[in-house]
Amino acid sequence: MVQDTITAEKRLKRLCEAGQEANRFNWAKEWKTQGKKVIGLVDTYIPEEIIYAAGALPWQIFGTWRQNVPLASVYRPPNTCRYCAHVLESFRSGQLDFLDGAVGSDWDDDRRTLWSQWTHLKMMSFRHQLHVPVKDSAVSRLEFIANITRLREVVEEFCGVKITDQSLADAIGVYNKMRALLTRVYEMKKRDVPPLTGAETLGLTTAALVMPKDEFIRELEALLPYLETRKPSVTSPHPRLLVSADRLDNPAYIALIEDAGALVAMDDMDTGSRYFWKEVSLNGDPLTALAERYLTKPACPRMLYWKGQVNQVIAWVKEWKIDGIVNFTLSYSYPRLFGTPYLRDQMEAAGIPFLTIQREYYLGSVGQLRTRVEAFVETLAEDF
Amino acid sequence: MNFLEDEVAKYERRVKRIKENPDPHKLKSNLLLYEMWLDFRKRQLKDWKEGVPFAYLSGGGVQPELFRAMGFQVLHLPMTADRAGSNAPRYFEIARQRGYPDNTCDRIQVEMGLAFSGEWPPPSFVTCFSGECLPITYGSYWIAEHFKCATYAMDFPIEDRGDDGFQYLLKQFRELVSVAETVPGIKFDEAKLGEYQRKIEANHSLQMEIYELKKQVPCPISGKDALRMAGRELLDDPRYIEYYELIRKEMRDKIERGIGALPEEKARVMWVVSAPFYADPFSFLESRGVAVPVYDAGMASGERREYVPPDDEKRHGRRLSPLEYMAFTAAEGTQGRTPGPKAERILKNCRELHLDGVIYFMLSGCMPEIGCGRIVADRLEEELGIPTLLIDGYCLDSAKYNQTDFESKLDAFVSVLLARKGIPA
Repeated sequence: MVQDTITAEKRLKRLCEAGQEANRFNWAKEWKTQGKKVIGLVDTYIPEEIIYAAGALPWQIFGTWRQNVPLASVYRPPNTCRYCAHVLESFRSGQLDFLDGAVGSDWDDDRRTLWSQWTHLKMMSFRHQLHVPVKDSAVSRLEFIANITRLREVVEEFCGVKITDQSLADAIGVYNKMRALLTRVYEMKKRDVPPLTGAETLGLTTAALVMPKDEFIRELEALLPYLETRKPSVTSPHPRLLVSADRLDNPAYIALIEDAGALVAMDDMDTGSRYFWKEVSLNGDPLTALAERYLTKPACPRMLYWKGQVNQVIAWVKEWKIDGIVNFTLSYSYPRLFGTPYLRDQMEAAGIPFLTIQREYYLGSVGQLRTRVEAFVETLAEDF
Repeated sequence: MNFLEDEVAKYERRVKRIKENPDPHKLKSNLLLYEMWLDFRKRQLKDWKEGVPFAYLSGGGVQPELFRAMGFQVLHLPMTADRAGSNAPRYFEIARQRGYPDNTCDRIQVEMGLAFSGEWPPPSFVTCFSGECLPITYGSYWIAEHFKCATYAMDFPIEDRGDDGFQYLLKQFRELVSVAETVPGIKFDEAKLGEYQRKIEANHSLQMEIYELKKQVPCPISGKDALRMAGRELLDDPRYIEYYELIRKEMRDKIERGIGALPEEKARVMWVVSAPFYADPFSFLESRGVAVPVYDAGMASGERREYVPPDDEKRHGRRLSPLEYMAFTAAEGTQGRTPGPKAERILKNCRELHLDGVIYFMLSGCMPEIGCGRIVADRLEEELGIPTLLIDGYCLDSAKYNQTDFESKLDAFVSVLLARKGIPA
């Protein structure tokens, strides 16, 4: 029994650390040794299932966690989105040379220009840019279906395979399985004392972003029975927080909050819940089903329906018994920076304590962050 | 005094000053431009008092003529905010107090501050256009949320995708019109839109003639004048065409008499993106012998050189209706898109106007333009051997401007230009 626990903990640790900068490339490189292609993505609005159905590995691109990005700075001054700067640094330093291609999007102006910089610098032989509408209406839904149909065509051409409706349905099935498993993990986080910390949870979801889905599913499926009965590292109720952020892939940020005496029980992050929330329907045309899922999944502030985003967060707050929200804005990433006053006002109106902290992409200004988080947690902890 | 009253007072002062003491280096037609703006602002004030519904616009893809053809009075948010002048800090403060990012485009900060200040007529309709940049999109989205008025978010594809992109925008324009028509008193008059478009076409021909005149050395227009534009808000003014005819005449006269904007033109550059509106870098450049015949998006910039009229059957297969033509021109726009078309246009301007360099104003917070800067510079150097100065700045936030620093950079760039031409500085 003790041995089983040790093995399971090791397995969990390995999975939780899969998204760390030191490890995140391993699966992709292994994949390539089998003669298969790896295609990077910069946005969770790009339907990965299409790439997976072509036999390529969809791999969410993250940047180096190093502070300095001298190679990127030539094309991206310091007053531009820090995620994109660190990604460009990784490209220019050769860290991402293993990628066969990449799909960009117009998630925001910076990601749009990131794609232009790849093109200008002739990076990778395959580059495609997907337009994701900023709204969901009958007209924009058709537009998105047309755009992902085009994505399917270019991926087919690049990979030299036909993506049939059946292969797409199979890929959707695999992704839905991953979504269902992660949903079970998040269900466990509703407990007063969950079996996983917030940092561990982000470790799991970021593993899903870079690992082949079959392998991730196998690992998580094997771990779930253990997680159901795992002894929590936290023993007493803490203030329960929800973290809102975009492209936050470093669990150290979450650990910093939890070290201050809080428990991150839920998130509103594209590297967390928003990555896997909502399954794709297996009925009807698969591209239509994909368009429906991707345009109606829990929205980020990039989409022009902030009210829907607010309602989703409030619903999570109620369901996960959240005491407060930490809203991590990323330097020079405007969707969240602009959306924040709206989110703050709505949360305050709903009586939900709300703290906004601006962060860098790399883990920086730790002392300052810690002080602010501690002060926030202290105000919440008065009720505990 | 509210913003529009301020504007009226400002243009009255300018008109008076020019009439009493004209600057021989500036175009005489500026007087007409100021008179048109003066009358437009007075008209806006009158419409505000009379309860005419106002439409707030932003971005270049949804133009004022569409809303005028529906019976709205229009207020173009960033273009109007550009005129805040020394009052800008007041509006920054309002926007920042509400928590808006203070490191985003300062034009949008002012626009939001102005909208919340109550100094602008409240909107009955707001359009959010996602095509140019996200600060513009989010700024208008926020304003629409604040005023809880009718609104339409126009989603804009990344690239010009020919007919697909056109059809997508056309469907959205039709939706926009139906949402706008829910505002009491609003009814779309497509024939009226057609009239505006004919005026724009006539104006386009004049702009192209003016563009051709800019090729002359010495350049017959000053940098500050090249930056000016009579916005499409002024289309209702009967003098709109006359204004451009007057500019053309003045430039022709100068060319005939061999007079340039500066006594000895040593080099010429293009100014790209935007400029510090509180400073005058053009006079500084001219004092060093550098002409600025063309600005990225200003008068006769060549931005719309490949003009395709609505009745170009070869291109469209038939004559487009005015609303279809609106969608067509929007689909063809290059602002805020990938840098390829923008770089092509700048390269073309440089070739045709025999430019020696480009000054690229890296407007802080303007991500599409900042992201393109180095790419455009690389292409200019590689394809034409032309240097580019990438210079950081703000349009309206003069508190962040250091004149000595800014002019030192310009000066160093001028030295490079002149050295490349073998001309002593």
